[in-house]
Amino acid sequence: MLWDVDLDLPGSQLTAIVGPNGAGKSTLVRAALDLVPRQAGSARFWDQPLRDVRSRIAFVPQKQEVDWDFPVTVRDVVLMGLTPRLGLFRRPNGEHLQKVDEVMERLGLQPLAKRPISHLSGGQQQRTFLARAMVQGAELLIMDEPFAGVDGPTEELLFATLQSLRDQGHSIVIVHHDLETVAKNFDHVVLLKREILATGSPSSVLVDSNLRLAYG
Amino acid sequence: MVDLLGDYTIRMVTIGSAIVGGLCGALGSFAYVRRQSLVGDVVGHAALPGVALAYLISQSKDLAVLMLGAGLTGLLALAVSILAVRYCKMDQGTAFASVLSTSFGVGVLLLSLIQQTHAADQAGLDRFLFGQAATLVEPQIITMAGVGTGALALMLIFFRPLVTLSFDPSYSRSTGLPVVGLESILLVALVSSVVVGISVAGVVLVAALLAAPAAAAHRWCTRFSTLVAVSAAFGALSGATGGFLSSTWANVPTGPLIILILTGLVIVSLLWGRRRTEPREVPS
Amino acid sequence: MTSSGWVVVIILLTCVTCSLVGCFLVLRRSAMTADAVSHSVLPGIVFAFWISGGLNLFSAFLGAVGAGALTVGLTKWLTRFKLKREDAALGIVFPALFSVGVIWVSVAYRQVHLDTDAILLGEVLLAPFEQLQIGTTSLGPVSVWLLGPLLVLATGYLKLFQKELILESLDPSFAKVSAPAASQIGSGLTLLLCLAVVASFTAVGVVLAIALLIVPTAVGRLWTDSLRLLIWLSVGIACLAGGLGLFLAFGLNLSVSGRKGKSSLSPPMYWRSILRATGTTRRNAG
Repeated sequence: MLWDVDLDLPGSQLTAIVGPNGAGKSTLVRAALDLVPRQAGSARFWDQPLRDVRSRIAFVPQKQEVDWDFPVTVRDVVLMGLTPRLGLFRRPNGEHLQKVDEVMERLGLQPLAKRPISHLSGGQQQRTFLARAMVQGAELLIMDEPFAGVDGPTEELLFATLQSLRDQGHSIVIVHHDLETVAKNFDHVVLLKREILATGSPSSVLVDSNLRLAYG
Repeated sequence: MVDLLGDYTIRMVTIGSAIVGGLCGALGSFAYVRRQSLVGDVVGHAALPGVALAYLISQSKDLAVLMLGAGLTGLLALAVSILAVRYCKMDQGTAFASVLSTSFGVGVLLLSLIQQTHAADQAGLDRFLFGQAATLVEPQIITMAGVGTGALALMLIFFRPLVTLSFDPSYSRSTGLPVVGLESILLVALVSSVVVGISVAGVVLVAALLAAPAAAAHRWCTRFSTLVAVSAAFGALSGATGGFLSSTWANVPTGPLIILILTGLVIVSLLWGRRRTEPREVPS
Repeated sequence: MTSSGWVVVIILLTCVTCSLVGCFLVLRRSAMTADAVSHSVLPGIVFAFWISGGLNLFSAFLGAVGAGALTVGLTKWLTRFKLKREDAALGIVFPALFSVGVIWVSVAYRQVHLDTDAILLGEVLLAPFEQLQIGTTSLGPVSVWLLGPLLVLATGYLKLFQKELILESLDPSFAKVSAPAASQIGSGLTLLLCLAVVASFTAVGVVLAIALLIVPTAVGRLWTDSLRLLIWLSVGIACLAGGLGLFLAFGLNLSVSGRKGKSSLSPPMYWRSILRATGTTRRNAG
C-alpha cells in the first residue's frame, strides 16, 4: 500500500530505494512496471509510456521469486535476455550470440557457462541476471534486493560492475535494505515509508531527522 | 517380436500408447518445471462431464467428438481454477481440488442420466474412466496423432518465449512479452495432451503421465531443451513397452501398466541419476 | 428406522465429518493430499481383501487407512529429499498405487466382484443394508458405527489441538523447531483425513469425498476471515448441500435403484458450484 508517490529519478545514476520492512519498496518498482495493479497514477520513462520503452528496461526480481531448481544453465539464462529483442518467432543469429559471449566474458561468467543455476553462489546468481539485463541492451536496470544473502567481497564486486555500467550511461535503480552501504555506493537515494519521506543525494537524505521518521 | 507386431491389435495399442506417452512426456515437462504437474489431474477429472455432454449432444461415440468435449470442459475447469487463484486469493491446491471434484460430480450425474435414458449405451464412455487402449483402432490413432501434432507444434513454435515465461514470469512481463497469450497457448497444448492421454490411461492415471517422465528426466538433464526431449523419450518408451506387454499378456490393463513402468523409471532415475540428490541449502 | 432415514443420517454424518477435517486441511494448503489419499484407497482395499480372504467393511477400512498413510508418507519423503516438488511427488505416488490396485484386481480377482465403480463413485442407498450384528440383534448400519465415533474423534482432536494445528499451518518451520509436538499433531490430521475418506467412500465414493472435504471450506473462505466462523460456515454449507442433494435426488427420482445410487450426491455438487459462484462475486463486489 502506497500513497501520494510523486517521484522523478535522474538518469545515468545509481539510485537506491531504502526504507523499513513493509514500506512498499518492492511495490513501488513493481507498480511502475505494471507488475502489480495501481489504483491511480502513471509511470513514465524518458517521458514515454511504459509500453513504448519496455525493451529498454530490464527487471531483476527478488531471489526467492526465482525457481533455482529450474533445469537451465547460466548461458541459457543469459540467452533469455534476447527474448524481448527477438520477439516470439525469430531465432538468435551469430551476432546475437557474439554479444552474449562478450557480456559473459566481461562479467567473468564464461567458466560457469554450462553450470546449472542450482549450483551457483549468491553473487554468481546476481551476475547471471545482470548479464541477462545487459544482453537485453537495457538502459534502465531495476533490481529488487540484489544484495540479499550476498557476502561482503561479492557485494563490492557487484557494486564495481554496476558503477562501471553507470559510467557508460546506464541508469540503475536498486531496492536496498542496508543503510550502511548506501552512502558509499549510491548517487541518489529515495527514502520510503508508505510515502516518499525524502529524496536526493545520500548526504542530504540520510540525516537523523529523516531516519527517525522512517525507522523510529 | 516381428510376428507379434504384425498383429493388428498389438500394433495399434503399441503405437497409440507410444504417441500418448511421448506427447504427455513433452508437454508434462512444462507442467513439471512450473510446479503444476497436477493440472493433469484437474483436466482429467473435468473431462468426464465434457465426454458425457458431447455424447448427449451429438449422440455419437466418435473419439474426435468426445475428445473435443473433454478438451473444452477441461480447459474451462483449468481456467476457473487459475482465476480463483488469481482473483479470489485461493490456494492452488484448494482451487484444483474443488474444481476437479465438483466437475467430476457433474460428470457422474450426466453419466447416470445417460445410463437411465440410453440403457446399455454407457459402455463406450467408460473408456474415459479407466482408459482402454486395447480397443484402439486406426482412425482413433490418427485422431490422437493429429491432436498431438498440433499440441507439439504449438510448443515448438513458441518454445523460446514459453521457457522464458516459465522460468521468470516477472521478468517476462516487465519486458512486454504477451504473457496472457503465451499462458493460454501453453494451457491449450497441455489440455490437448491430457485429453489424448485420457483415452489410454483414464482420468485418474493421466496425472502421472505428465508428472513422472519429467521428474525422471530431471535427474539426467541440466538444460530444459534436453529435459523435454528425454522426458518425451521416457514417455514414449514406457508407452510402447506398456502397450506391447499388456496386449500380449492376458487381463493386464494398459494404462496402469504404463504408469508402473514410468514409476520404475522414476525410481531408477532417483537412485542412479547423474544430478546430485542431497538436499541443498535453498538460497534465501 | 427406515432405510431412507438411515441414508439421511449417513449423509449428514459424512458431511459434518468431512467438512470439519477438510477445514484444517485447506488451512494447511494440502487440499490435493485429500485427492491423492482418496485415490490410493483402492490398493489398500485389495490388500485387505487378500489378507483377510473376504470383503468385509472393517478389514477394508484398515487396509485403506494404511494405503492412505503410505501415500502421505511417500509423498512427504519424495518432496523433502528427492523431487523438491510436492505436485510432482503427489502426481507420481497416487497413480502408482492406484495402478497396483487396478492391475491386482484385474489379474488376481477377475472372478470376485470387487466393484471399482462402487469404490470410486459410492452407493449410498446400499449402505443401510450392511448391518452391524451381534448375535442375532442388528444394531444399525455399519457405516453409522464407523462415522459416528469418527466424528466424535475428529471433533475432539481438532478442538483439543486447534492452537497447534493453526501454528503448524502458518509456519511449519517454526513449528518444527520450537514446537515439535505441533508437527506431530499435524501428521495426526493426515491420519484423520485417511479415516474420513475411507469412512465416507461407502456413502459418496472417494472422488466426491474430496468435494465434501474441500469445497465447503473453499467457499466459506470467500466469505470470512475468522476461523471460528469459517468452521461453522463449512459445516453448514456441507450439510445444506448434502440435504439439498438428497432432496433433489429423491425428488427427481435420479436414484431409484442401488445401481443408480451413485448419482445421489451429484446434485449437491451442482448446488455447491452455484453457491461458490455467488460467494465469489460477493467477495469481489465487497
